[in-house]
Amino acid sequence: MALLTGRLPPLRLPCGAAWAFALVLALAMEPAAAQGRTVSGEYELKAAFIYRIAGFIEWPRKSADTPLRLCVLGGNPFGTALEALRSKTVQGRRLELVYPESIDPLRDCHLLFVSPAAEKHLDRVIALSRDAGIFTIGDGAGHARRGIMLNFYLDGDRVRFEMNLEAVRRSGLVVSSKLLSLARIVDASPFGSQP
Amino acid sequence: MSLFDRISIKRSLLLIALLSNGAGVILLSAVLGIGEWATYRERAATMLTAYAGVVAGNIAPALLFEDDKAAREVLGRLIVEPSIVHATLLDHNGKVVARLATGHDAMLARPALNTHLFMDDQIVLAREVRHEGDLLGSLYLQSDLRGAHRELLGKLALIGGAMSLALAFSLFLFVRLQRTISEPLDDLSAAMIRVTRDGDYEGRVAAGGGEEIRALARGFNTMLDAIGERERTLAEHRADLEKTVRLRTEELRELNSSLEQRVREEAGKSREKDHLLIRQSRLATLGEMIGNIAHQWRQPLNALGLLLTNLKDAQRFGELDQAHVEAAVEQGRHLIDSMSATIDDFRNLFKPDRDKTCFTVAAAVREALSVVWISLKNANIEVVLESDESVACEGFFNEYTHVMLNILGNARDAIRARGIMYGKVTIRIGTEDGRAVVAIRDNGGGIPEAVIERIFDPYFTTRENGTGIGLYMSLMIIEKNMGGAIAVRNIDGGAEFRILTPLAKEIPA
Repeated sequence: MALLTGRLPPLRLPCGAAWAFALVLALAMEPAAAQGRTVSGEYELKAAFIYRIAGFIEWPRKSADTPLRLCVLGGNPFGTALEALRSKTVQGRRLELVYPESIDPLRDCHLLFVSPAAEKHLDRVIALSRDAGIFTIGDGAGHARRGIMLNFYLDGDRVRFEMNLEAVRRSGLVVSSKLLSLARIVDASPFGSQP
Repeated sequence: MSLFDRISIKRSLLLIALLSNGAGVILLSAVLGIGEWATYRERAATMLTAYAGVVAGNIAPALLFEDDKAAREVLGRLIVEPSIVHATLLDHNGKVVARLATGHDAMLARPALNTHLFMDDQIVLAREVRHEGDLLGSLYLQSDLRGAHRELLGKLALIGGAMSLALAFSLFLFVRLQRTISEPLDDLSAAMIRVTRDGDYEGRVAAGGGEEIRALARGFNTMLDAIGERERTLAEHRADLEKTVRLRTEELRELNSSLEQRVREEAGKSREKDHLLIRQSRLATLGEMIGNIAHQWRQPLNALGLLLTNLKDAQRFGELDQAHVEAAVEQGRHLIDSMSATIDDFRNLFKPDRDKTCFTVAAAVREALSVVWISLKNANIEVVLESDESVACEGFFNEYTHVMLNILGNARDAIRARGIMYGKVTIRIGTEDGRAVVAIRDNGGGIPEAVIERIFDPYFTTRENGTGIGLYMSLMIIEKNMGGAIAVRNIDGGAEFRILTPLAKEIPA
């Protein structure tokens, strides 16, 4: 078996060319997202994605008995799609849905979805979530670049997400490389991506 | 006798090494080869399963987030494994999400999930794709076994080559190393041959080789030392012994020669003594003989005297004529001849015999009787002779007659001494056990039992004027000179002497 493992390709680290291609693609798609174009069932898919994304994140305080709190700020764009997640568990923790009205209770969140309606609070949310162990999810063009860790966008009729590695790094959370390998990586700096 | 007994140790060792190493190498090669052959398909399946596991794990997020592009990317990386000729990823609805086809455009078969099946030289494997327990889709991989097959053949060739090299190298090493065993043994064997063939106990064996061979060589050398030492000691001893034997032989020879000298001297002395005795004895009997002659001559002398008186009377009476004188002379000469013959008889008797002769015993007895008959007659002793004339013996006639004379004389003296009126001597001549025997019996009263054992001793006598020589001489003559035997016993009223002598080989003329 030693012979075989030696031949295995490094699946988890995509090559630089793929990254460059992904970046170019991301830049090309941005205007379309900014136009606010929607696809059918988009939020059902996003709700499912949020649930699935949670499985790839590791929070620093691991307590299996406390629920995993998912906060949705700025109204509920998912309709009833999120309610289907109430009965589910992530990494053995029950999922708890919270719709906070103000910024302050956000500290207790594990996952924070900032809906497009709350875009005006974005900078405060980003500041608050920094070092707080909150995985922030955005849903608007350029959110990731501004400091949101993961931001949804549309690639044609497909829902995609981009991630800000710097924000993730600062948050103290551990995100699975498998999630990263699917994401378009954006950099806070204006000089492009960072390997 | 096995093969190993017939060849040298060197070749035995080589053969053993060849057989054992060869067997080991062949066995090992066979085990490895069969193991490789038996498992290469399973190993290929295991490898494919491992690939499928890795791909399924990596591709699960792409399915989870419905990222077909990412799924194709992950699947595309399988292209680095040339044996995989086809890969297909289906989502949970069975829709094809991604496909990789390098050799085959379509799957040969679709096995059940998480199983594989072999088809000819292909292996097809199905693997489910799950994320946290949720079934996301399925992954199908098809692998070509021909590459693995070629690889297997290469590996078998490698094993065979390596084993052959190992065998060759081990034999090379063995040939070099076995000298340390076989050469000292050869040395030892050569030394042994030198010792047994040439008797060379001086050579020594170099103590090389293994511990046992060194011990053997040391033991051999010690043995040679001991043998050499023993040889030297033996040689010294042998030399000593030979010297001693020579010395002793010399001494013995000297002793022997001096002994012979002494024996000769003693024999001479003894002979002289015997001669003296014989002479004494003869002298003793001489007187008796003269007496006998005197007895015998008395009658012819009287006759001669009478003849002379007759001549004188005839002359006086004028009767002396020619015829008368001639008759008287004839008569006188006859008497003188008779007297002369008597002297001759006695002289012959006392002449010692030079050589052994054959004679009849009867002749000797008559000779003796002719000498003593007058004295026997005077003593009124009757002589009875029961003679077997054919009995002859070998010896000295005169001495034998002398013995007869002695015994007859003793008988006469005994009869006379006892005053027996009618003396009788019986002489019986015969053979007994191949010997001539003369038995002389008398009725002289026998010999007292107290002295019968001693009568043959020299100088032993019962008579006042006896010399004690007669019977001793008789014993010497019969037993020593003639090789016979003489014995005495008392019988009713007297004694019996028995004289046994060897029979003559030829009858005397």
